[in-house]
Amino acid sequence: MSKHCGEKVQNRRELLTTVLRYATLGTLGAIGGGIFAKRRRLVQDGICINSGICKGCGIFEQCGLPQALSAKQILTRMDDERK
Amino acid sequence: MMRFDNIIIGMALSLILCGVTIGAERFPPPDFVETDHVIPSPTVPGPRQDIYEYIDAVVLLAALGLSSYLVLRRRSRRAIFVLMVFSLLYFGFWRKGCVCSVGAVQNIVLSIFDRDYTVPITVAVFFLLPLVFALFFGRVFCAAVCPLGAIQDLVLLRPISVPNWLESGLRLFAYVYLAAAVLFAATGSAFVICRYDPFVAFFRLSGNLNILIIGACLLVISVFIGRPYCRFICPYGVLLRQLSRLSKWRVTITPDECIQCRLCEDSCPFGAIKKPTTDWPTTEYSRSKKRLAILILLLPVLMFLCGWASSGLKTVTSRMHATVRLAERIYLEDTGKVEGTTDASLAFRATGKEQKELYADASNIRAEFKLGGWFFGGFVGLVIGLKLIAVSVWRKRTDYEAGRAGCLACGRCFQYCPKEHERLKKIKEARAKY
Repeated sequence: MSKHCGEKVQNRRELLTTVLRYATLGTLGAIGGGIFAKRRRLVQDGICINSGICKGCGIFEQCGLPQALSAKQILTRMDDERK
Repeated sequence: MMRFDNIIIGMALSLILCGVTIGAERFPPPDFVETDHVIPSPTVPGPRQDIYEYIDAVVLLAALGLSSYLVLRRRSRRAIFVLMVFSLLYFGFWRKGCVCSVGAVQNIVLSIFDRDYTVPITVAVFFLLPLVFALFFGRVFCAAVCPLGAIQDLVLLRPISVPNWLESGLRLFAYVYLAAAVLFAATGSAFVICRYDPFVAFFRLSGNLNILIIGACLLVISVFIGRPYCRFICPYGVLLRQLSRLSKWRVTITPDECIQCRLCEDSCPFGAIKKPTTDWPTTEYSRSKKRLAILILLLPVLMFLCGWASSGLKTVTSRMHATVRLAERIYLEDTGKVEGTTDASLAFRATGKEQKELYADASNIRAEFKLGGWFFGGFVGLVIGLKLIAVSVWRKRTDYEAGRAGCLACGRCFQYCPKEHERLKKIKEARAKY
């Protein structure tokens, strides 16, 4: 009898683990899907997807690093297009 | 074995030298003749062509698949070791530690919280793949794919065991680090995991001196304490730890039934082997039951107190954000409390923007930190509370087992099991027959 109860508990625990596993897998899938969809939307809207590189940098306006110069070019072009 | 080691070291040196030799700039830097501006040398690698990023993702997938096979099916420590060295050379020295799954957490968080920020597909793959593998095969990423783990594992020569209470306490730091990394990434302040990555300076053969010293210290500690970064600091390890609890397949010390010979008892340098437990005395059982009830009731209180304390630190924590630092600097300069200017304050004044606008932005960011502080503290309180609750919960164990969460799947324990030797002997005999 006790073995039977033990098996039941084991099965219940395994069931819970399986449910949690696939729920987590679903969540990870949703994160992946969300990132893909967002990236597509930003590209379609013509928004610079590299804006994060120099974002928040205090010396961006003065910076002469190639990445910053490239980002400035993109931002200027986007501003011109908006006007 | 000595010859085998020499081959690996020779391969490592050749790859490193090749990497240094073929490193060349794809775009020539601009020439600032008029201003005599000297371009500072960057300490981070430049962007790579998309095709190479996709190759990285494929290599990661292959390495994870192979690691799962070697850990769960082939059960070969030597093969795991070879894959680990390959990962160190490829993801560490060749790819210079970037993109790495550990740091990718921050990109994903920022992508969730910032409307206009998104991550390259490769970064998403580096974040998601090891987690998916952990859900099915345990921590196979830590075993042989993560370059940060590999560099520590290679120098582990004289392992000493860490007492359980100390291990459990030190592990708390990883949760706090994860919560802090999420807070700073969500507010767009900083990527602290990348900034304080202790081994990336070794991979890039350049970097901040302080971080280099911390990395060197961690490597010295790693000689005696197995993978201290992975066990006590790694924020991605926290996620892998929790997901590997749900894993469908996991590392087993013995390929057959445990005969409780105790040979494997002290074989794990990471303290991940759980010993069989005896029944709790009745008095202890009832006392623990009461303690458990009290702790469950106290959990929300602990979360609230930690959240309240953390949100109160918004003035300090928000200084991680460049806008807040700039606003404070401008304020101090305007009120004459400091002399001179900084590059950032000069750049701000050159834009012609009003101070009011800057102060409003800084104020908004501080409000975000106040709210984020509640979540940060609440999470830390929850972890502390759950750790205390775990002490009061009794888990019955009849055999020696590799802990689901703590096992790094390194495969060291396999060779200690006499049943494993029997299995290998049978395989050898079967091979000789056919």
